[in-house]
Amino acid sequence: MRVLSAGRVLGVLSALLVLTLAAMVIGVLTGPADLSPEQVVSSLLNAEATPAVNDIVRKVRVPRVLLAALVGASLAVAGVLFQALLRNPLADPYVLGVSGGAALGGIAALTLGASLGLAAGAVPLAAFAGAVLATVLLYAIANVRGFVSATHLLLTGVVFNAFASAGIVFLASLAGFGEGNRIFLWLIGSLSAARVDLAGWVAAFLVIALAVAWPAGRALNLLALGEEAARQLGVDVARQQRVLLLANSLLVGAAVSVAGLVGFVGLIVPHLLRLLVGPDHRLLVPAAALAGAAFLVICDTVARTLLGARELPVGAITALLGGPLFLLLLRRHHARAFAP
Amino acid sequence: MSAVPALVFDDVALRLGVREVLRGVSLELAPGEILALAGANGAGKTTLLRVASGVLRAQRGEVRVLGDPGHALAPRELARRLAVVPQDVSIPFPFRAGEVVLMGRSPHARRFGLDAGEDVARAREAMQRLGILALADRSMLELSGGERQLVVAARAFAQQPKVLLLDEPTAHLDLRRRIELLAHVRDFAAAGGSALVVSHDLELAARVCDRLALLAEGEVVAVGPPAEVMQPRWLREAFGIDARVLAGPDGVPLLVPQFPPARADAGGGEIA
Repeated sequence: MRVLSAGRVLGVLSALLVLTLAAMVIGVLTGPADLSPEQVVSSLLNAEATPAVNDIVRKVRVPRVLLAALVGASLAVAGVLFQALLRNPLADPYVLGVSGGAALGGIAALTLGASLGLAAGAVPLAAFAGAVLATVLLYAIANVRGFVSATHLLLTGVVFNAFASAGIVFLASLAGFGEGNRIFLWLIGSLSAARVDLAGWVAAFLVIALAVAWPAGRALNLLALGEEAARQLGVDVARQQRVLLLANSLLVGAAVSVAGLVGFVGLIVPHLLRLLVGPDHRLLVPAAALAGAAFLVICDTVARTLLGARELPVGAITALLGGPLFLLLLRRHHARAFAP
Repeated sequence: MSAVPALVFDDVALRLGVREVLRGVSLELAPGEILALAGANGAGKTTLLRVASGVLRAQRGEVRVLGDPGHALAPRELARRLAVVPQDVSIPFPFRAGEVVLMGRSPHARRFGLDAGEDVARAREAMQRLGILALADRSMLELSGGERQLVVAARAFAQQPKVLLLDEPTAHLDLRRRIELLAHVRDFAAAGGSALVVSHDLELAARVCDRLALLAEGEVVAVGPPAEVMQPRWLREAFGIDARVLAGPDGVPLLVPQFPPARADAGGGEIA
C-alpha cells in the first residue's frame, strides 16, 4: 500500500532538488556567449575573471536562471492548486485566463506607474489583484451552486484571455510602449526583458503561497474528492477555498509580473509529477515547486541557445510542449466522462 | 451515557429554491441502533443525510450529534463523530484505493500529518474486512462502480465514527457484496456504533435494521420495527404502490408488488 511517510517525502524532494540544482548549473554554464565552465566558475568565485565575463555571468545568466526557477515554481504550484480546487486535471492558470487577468493588472501598473510615480512593487501587486479579479469572475461564471462545469471553465478562460490580450495591447499602445516587441514578449511570455529588481517580490509571493499551500496538502486531497466529501471528512471548505485561491493568485501574479504570459507550465509539470509520484498533495505541492523550477530553467536555457544569438521567448517553448499535451488530456478527459 | 442519543433530527425543515425538501423531520437514533430509511425518489433522504453531515444547514429545527448541535461543531470534530458513505463517487485524479481509505483518517491526523502507523493499520483493517485489501494499490480511475463504493465504505469505517450514514451503500454491489457490507454495518452497531442506512432494498435493509422509517415528500410517514412499517398502507403512502405483504420465514416480511395492468400502446413489439 502506498503510504506517505517522511522517508518518501524526503526521498522524492531530494531527488527533485538535485534535478533543480543540476538544471540551474547547466543554465548558468550555457548561453550564446562562448564561455568555458572554468571561466564561469571563476567569475562566480570572483577570482581574476575579466569584467566582460563577470557581466555575462553575474548580471545576465545568474539572475536569469534564478528568475526562471522562481517563475517555473510559481506556475507549477498554481497549476496543482487550481486542479485540486476545480477538481479538473485540465485546469491551468494560463488556460483559464487567470494569467491573462494578472497580465492585464501588471501592464496597467507598468503603463500608468511612470505617470503616477508608483514603485516597482506596484507591478506584482497589480498583477496579483488582476489574478484575484479574474478568479472571482471565473467562479462567478463557471460555478453554479457548487457545480463547476469544465466546458464553462474552458470557454470562460478562452474568452477572458482574448479580452485580456486586447486590453494589454490597448493599454500598451496608449502608453506608447511603441516598440511592439515588448508587448509581444509580454503576451507570449519571456524572461529576456524580465526585471531583476522584481525578483525579491516574486520570491516573497512564492514563499507565502507555499507556506499556505503545503500545510494544506491534506485539505487539497480531500477537496479533490469534492466539496461534499471534503466537508464530511472535516475540512472547512469555504475557508480553505478562499485561502488557497488567494495563494494561487499570489503565485500567478508573481510569475506574470516578471515573465508575462508563460503558458502550460501549470499543466505539464503537475501532470508528469502525478505519473511519477502520485497525486497526494502533501507531496505534490513541494514537488511541483522544485520540478517547475527545473522545468522552466531548462526551457529557458533552450530558448536562449536553440537559435544561437537570436533568442526565442520561453513561452513559445512551453506552449509548443503544452498545447499538444492539453489536447491529449482533453481527449482522454472527454473519453472518460462518457465511459460506462 | 446511554441516555444521550447518537443522532437526533429535531423538527428539521429545509427549502431548496422553491421546493420544501424537508418539512419537519424528527427521528432519533440510539447508540448501537441501525435505522433504515426508505422512500420514493425525491422524498428527501439524501438531503436529510446532507443536513446531518453539515453539508446543508437546516432552516428550522436542528440536528444533534452525540448531544451537540451539529452546526455548532467544528467540521473536524463533526467528522470524528460522524462519517458518510456517499451514493456516488467520482475522483478525477489517479489516487490509489489505499490512499482514499487513508483519507478517512484525516479528522484524526495532525494538521500537517503524514500517515502514521496507526492510520495505516486502521485503513488496512477496514479494507481487509470489506474484502478489498487486494485493491489497495489500484488506481481509483480503474475500479468498477461497485469497487469504488466499497473503497469509500472502507474510508468511512477507517474514520472510526460513532455514527455512520450510508446513502444507498449497496446500489452498485452484487448480492454477496451487499450482504457482506450490511453484515459489517451490523457488527459496527453491535460494537456500539449507530447507523442510518438509506436503501431502496427494503427487504435486505429490514434484515439488519432495528427500525425502519419511511419518508414521503419530506415527512416521516411511518417509523418502527420493520414488520410494523412494511404494511400495505404505509407502502402505499410512501411509494404510491400496491403490494401484498407475506410473512417471511425469518420474521421479516416479504413484499410482492402489484404491477399496473399491461398497456398495448407503450411502444416496442412489432413495427406496423
